[in-house]
Amino acid sequence: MLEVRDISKSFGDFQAVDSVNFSANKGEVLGFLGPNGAGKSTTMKMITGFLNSSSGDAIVCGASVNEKPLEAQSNIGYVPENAPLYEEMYVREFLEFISKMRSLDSNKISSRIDDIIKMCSLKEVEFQKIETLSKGYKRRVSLAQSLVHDPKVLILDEPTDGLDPNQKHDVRKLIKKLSKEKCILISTHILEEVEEVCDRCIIIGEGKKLFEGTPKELKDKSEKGRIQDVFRVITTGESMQGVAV
Amino acid sequence: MNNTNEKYLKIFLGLFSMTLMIYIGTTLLKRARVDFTEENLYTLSKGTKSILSKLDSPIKLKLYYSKTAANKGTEGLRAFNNHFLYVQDLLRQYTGHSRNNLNLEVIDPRPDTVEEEEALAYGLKKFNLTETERYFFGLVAENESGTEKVIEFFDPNQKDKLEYDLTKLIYTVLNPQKKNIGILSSLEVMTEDMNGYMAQIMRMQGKNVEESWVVTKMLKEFYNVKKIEKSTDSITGVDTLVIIHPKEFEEKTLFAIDQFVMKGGNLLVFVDPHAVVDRAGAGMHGGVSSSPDAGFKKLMDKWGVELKAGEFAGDKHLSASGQYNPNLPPSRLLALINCNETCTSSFEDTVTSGVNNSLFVYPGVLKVSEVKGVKHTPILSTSKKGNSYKAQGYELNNPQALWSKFSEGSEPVIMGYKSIGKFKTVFPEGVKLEEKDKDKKKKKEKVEILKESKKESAIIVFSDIDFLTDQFAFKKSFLGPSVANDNSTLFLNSVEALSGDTDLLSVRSKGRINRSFDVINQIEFEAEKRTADKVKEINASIARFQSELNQLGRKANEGNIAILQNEGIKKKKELAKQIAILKKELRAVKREGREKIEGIGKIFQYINTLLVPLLVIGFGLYYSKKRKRLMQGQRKRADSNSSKNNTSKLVEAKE
Amino acid sequence: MMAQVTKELMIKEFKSYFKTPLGYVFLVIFLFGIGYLTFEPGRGSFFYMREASMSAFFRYIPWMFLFLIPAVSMKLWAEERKSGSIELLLTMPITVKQAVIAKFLASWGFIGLALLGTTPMIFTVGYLGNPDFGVITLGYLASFLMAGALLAVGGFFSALTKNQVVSFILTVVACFVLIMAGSPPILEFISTLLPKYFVDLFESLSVLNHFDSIERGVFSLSNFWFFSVTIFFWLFGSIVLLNENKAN
Repeated sequence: MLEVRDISKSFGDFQAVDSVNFSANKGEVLGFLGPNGAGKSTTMKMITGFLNSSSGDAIVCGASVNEKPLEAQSNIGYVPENAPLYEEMYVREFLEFISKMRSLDSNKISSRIDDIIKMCSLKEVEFQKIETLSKGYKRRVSLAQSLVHDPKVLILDEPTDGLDPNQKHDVRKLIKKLSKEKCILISTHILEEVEEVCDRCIIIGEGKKLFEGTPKELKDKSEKGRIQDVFRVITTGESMQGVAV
Repeated sequence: MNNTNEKYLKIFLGLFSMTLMIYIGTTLLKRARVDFTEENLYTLSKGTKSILSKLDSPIKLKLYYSKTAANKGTEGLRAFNNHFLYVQDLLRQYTGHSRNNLNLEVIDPRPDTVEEEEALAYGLKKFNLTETERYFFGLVAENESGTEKVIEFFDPNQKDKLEYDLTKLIYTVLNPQKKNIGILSSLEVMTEDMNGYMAQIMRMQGKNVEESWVVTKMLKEFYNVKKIEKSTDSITGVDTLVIIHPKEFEEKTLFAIDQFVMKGGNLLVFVDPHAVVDRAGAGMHGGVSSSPDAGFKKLMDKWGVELKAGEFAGDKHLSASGQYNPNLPPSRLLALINCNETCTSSFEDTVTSGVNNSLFVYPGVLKVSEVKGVKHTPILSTSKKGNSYKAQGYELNNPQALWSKFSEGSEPVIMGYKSIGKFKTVFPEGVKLEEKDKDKKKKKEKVEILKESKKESAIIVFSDIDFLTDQFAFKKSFLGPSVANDNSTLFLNSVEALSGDTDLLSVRSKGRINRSFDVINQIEFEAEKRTADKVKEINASIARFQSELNQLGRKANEGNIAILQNEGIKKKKELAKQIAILKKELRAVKREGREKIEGIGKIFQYINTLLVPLLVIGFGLYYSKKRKRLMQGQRKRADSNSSKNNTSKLVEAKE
Repeated sequence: MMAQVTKELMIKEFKSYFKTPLGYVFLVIFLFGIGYLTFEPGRGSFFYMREASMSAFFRYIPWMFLFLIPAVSMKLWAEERKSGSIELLLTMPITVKQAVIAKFLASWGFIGLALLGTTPMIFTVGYLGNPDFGVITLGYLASFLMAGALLAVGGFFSALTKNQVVSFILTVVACFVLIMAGSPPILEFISTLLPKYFVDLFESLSVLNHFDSIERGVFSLSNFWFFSVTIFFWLFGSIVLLNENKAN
């Protein structure tokens, strides 16, 4: 469903992403790990077609982002970093706008939005202005926005960043639910999240793919089972006792 | 680094190609345009195009405009800047229609340059803006043989006549000779040339010296003027014939006039149902002061123009004040019509356009009838509220009687007509000549008679004569007579129009559609009328008091003089009180009118500054409320739905 | 003709002017300002000139636009870029071109509405006298076309920066230059630096000259060409610019 082929991005002399390869299938949650500035967001922006890649390509449901960006984009639901929204709009109004932009059948918009609102537990804030919402709700509105057109591929850029533990839990639960028939790419630097929701994970550092495997494989690399040690070793290149990469 | 360079290059290339596209495109497409103005300000008339099409050698047009100086000048020069743009625009239209025979050059003469010297040499008007800056705004037209004609200065107030002026300029460059004007009149319009000194001597000898009318003297400055005698066999060597007060012309003179028209000559005719100036006719010998007489009427009938005998044009709103009798206070007289732009502007004719202050005395009423091949156009009239009235003999000298005969009308009364076309002769059989050489000449003339015009000619007829006289057209100043109003302009305009090409004559004035605030003018007019009434009332009271005082004086004798004096003083006091009250009322009336106008201004100011903003604010409040309510309404519905469905609070799968 | 997404975005953008008080503030200031300037007591005042034409009104339009246009255009892209919602927008199935056009049309519509709000002026001259409605129509057309050209410029500067204030100021400056390009002081200044040929070139770029020329009552294809090309190039510039720096 999602296939990323040798995708690279350079800004001037700076190589932000360097030939990253991976793929993910339906029902799979792929964790995208790496320290800040490693190129996670850049990679995701390239997959969603927001950024043009310097080289390489991403295939979403058979459509190349480079060649048929609109077709690829129509199969992607995207929650950008920090979940930006149109603050002056009401939640429902906003979702209606997104539905229209996603060319949903105008007869079905209303019922579809009802479903989404239920799914993302936005009932209480449905008729509030987005700017008045709490961070958690905003995150959920952003998630709802990405689900309106029932995309096959979901790309979530740090969806739980800045939320309180309960909110994080809710979001993860939702992701789990969704994962059954979608292919989800989720970026994070919170390691326990990987263990909790991801089927597989990729670690990138300085634009390069450093690791690909299941969270268990990652964990097993440390004798103590401390995933953060492994992450540290992989991303910084330091050696650490009891961690074999 | 390379990347940024590339970016700058891109930006530069983009801007460059945009500039180029705009420049080339706008230059190429300049001609493709539609004139949306009601007056067709930017479109040339047929006459102009026809004259331009006759050009066969290049003419250089130099438009002098001190652009730089104007930009340094005051705000007031802004109007001139706009007018310059208009002149330039129109001239470009000219060059566009000239098949490259016109060559326009715009020159901005800077101080102390060759250009400025040239501008001065051409005789363009110079205005000193500052010590160094001088302002020019004129046009020079020059042909290959060195003939040059100049418009010294473009007056923005003459905007509507601009096309005529420009076309005339080009026309005169093509035809630079002075035109010949003939004058034929039953009055002493033009006397033998006599220098001032001679005249003075003769006057000192107690002889009555008739001097030429000032209008004819003015005419001589621009044309070769020739006097045509009342008894003339044929009229030749004259481009335009001016006929004033046609009566008592001999038959052969009428025939000569007729044939003059047939040959394509242009006529300017002044007739009058009651010519005040014709003292010989009016009065003593029981003669008539009116023209045309029966003989000339035949000619006019053939042209299709008729002056209604004994009928006069009147207009309450245009009536001017004057006195019949030096003993009476001046009052509004129906016989005097003071024409403003309402009389001329609607006709958009170059002859009368711009003539907006002219005075007519007992003007007559002109009617036209259809003549095949002739087009009649009215060029001068009363306002819409004017009407005609009949009067004769003694009535004419009784202002009150005239007013009683007048009622307001609904259609303008025409006082001037222009007729252009091919006319037919009145004398298809020729004229009977004096017995003596009857046979000899008859043969000759039979050959010469033209029964129909060979080419188009133009005839302009006005229904007043007195407006040309020194009394009404000029005022005495110590430097001699000076122009009092537009009367002489109207005369010169007519002659000028007729002595050009008929093409030139057909160049219409762009017209000055009345764009003033009618509503406000109406209010002002009414206020003025009420003011005038009040003034009249005050004057009447004063007059009454005067007569009462006189009566008292007459009754006075030694015995009662003291009492009467007392009474006089009392009366005076009473009057002063009364006048004070009336004056107060007068002030109130004036203030009322002013306040009403100011009030309207305020209302519109409020409407235009506050109304829509308030509506916008209202809509804003309404819209945000509505959005909120809409959302709340949906929430209520949704709440009831959700309670029915008994949904759980958190995550739910969509299936 | 127009893609569904373009239309939807345009509608949303147009409505968004009315969802914050700011839009109303701009409208009110513009309408009040133009009315005030037209009736301003002074030499050129409409009511004192007693001429049933709207030239006193249209004379101030370019100067009111100098404030209104940047205010309307500043948020077009700067706000999206600052909040990051541009990421949301451009990852939906809409091309940059469509988005640029949609936003431009929405803001143009808003200006159109602002001009529509001045209709009492037409009734005023119609009531007071006998105006030339052909010329008035062209005046409005000229204003609207000029608004389009200036908005395209404003949109470009909005896409250039994330800061609305910076965008506003840059647009004011750019509009001022474009409006004043044909004005004598600037031309004189240029003529001291560059040959006459460039002066002509610069003059042909002046928004005000083309505006005046239509407003006087003559509609020329060359004016129309000028406004179309200007709009086209600045929109094109916005598209290129956004493609370059949307992610920054």
